[in-house]
Amino acid sequence: MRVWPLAALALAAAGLATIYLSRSPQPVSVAGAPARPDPASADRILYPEGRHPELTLPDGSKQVVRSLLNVPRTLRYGDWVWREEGVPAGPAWVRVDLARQTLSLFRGGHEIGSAVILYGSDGKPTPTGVFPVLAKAREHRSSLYDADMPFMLRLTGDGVAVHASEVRFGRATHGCIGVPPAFARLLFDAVQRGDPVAILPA
Amino acid sequence: MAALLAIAGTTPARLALIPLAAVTVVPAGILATGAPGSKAIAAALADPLSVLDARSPGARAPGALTSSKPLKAADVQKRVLSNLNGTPGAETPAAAAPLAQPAAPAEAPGTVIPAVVAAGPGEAAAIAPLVVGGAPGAAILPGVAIAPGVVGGGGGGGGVIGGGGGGTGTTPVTPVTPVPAIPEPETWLTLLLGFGAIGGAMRVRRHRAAARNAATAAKG
Repeated sequence: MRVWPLAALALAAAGLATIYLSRSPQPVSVAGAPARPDPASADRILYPEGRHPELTLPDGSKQVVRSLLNVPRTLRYGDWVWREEGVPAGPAWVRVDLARQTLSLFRGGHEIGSAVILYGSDGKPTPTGVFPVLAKAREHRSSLYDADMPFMLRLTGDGVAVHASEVRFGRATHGCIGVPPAFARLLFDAVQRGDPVAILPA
Repeated sequence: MAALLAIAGTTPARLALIPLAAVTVVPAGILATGAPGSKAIAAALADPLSVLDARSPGARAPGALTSSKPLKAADVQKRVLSNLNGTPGAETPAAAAPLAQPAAPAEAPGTVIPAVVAAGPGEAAAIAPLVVGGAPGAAILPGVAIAPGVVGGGGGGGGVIGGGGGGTGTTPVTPVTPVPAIPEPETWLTLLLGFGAIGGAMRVRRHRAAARNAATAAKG
């Protein structure tokens, strides 16, 4: 009986299986809609009535903050948070903090989303100030740079916008504000034309 | 007693849900009443920006956009035995999953300037389809190792490295310049010249020493 070929085959199969099983685990993505948060989970910091702080915008106006998202850890490049369960409808505004490299979306004073952003490089800085959203486009291609700008929220007449980007360390934009694609989709749907976007300087 | 805010997880036993849902629609959150305030609570009350500070990855580093090292691709494939060369504990920023949200399909990046558009000469040579059905025996770009069969070139390029077979490979292979087993004629020649020089020097030295000895013997 010829046992050697079979034995060799079995050995090879075992080796392949070992390699396959010992691969580093891939990040698991949770399919479907996000589950409603546990009410006891502290994913939001509510300011008590009468003690709502105010955030000053670059143009001097003030926005009342009723609650902030309680993010359990430091966000990394590409990270984002979105929790809008229980937040009533209301006027939306976006706070872009270049110094902290984060963006926050407020609805009715409650923060419902936050993400790490990319912003303009040193040669092409992002303008600061308060800009109402001039136009929205789910699909847009930059005419200046011949690049895709999905989920674009245009802020200035010369093309600065909030749009989806691959947010990674060491990257920057030509002045736009880049947010992770999945977050950009949510942001696009939550922000309407005319909603103010406040960009604070780095 | 003023109600105090509590950060999640610090004092879970003392937290009470805000019971305002019946009056106005208020998102679920935490609010501590009468709890002794920690430093973080006081900071959150005094300055909401401290909450943003806690989540921020920080300001962009001065050298973040001028790094000379090439960026690692997110889906970089390293080696077959990937469990052997992974650095434990190291986590690439791109691999970090979003918090508490399902991962959405990746979109095409927008106007992103990669800080380093790094493609070394070797990389470019490996990707560029240099051989487009080249004639056998044609020497192409001496000194540049050519990836075999990017577009299914002519079999046996000859040339510098003895050309791999054309094949139907679609993935460019990183070229490796092989070290020949037998030294080139120039190498042999240099080796022999060196031996000759050493032999000559020894010979001259021996002759001079003999002459000097003879001279001193004649004097004495």
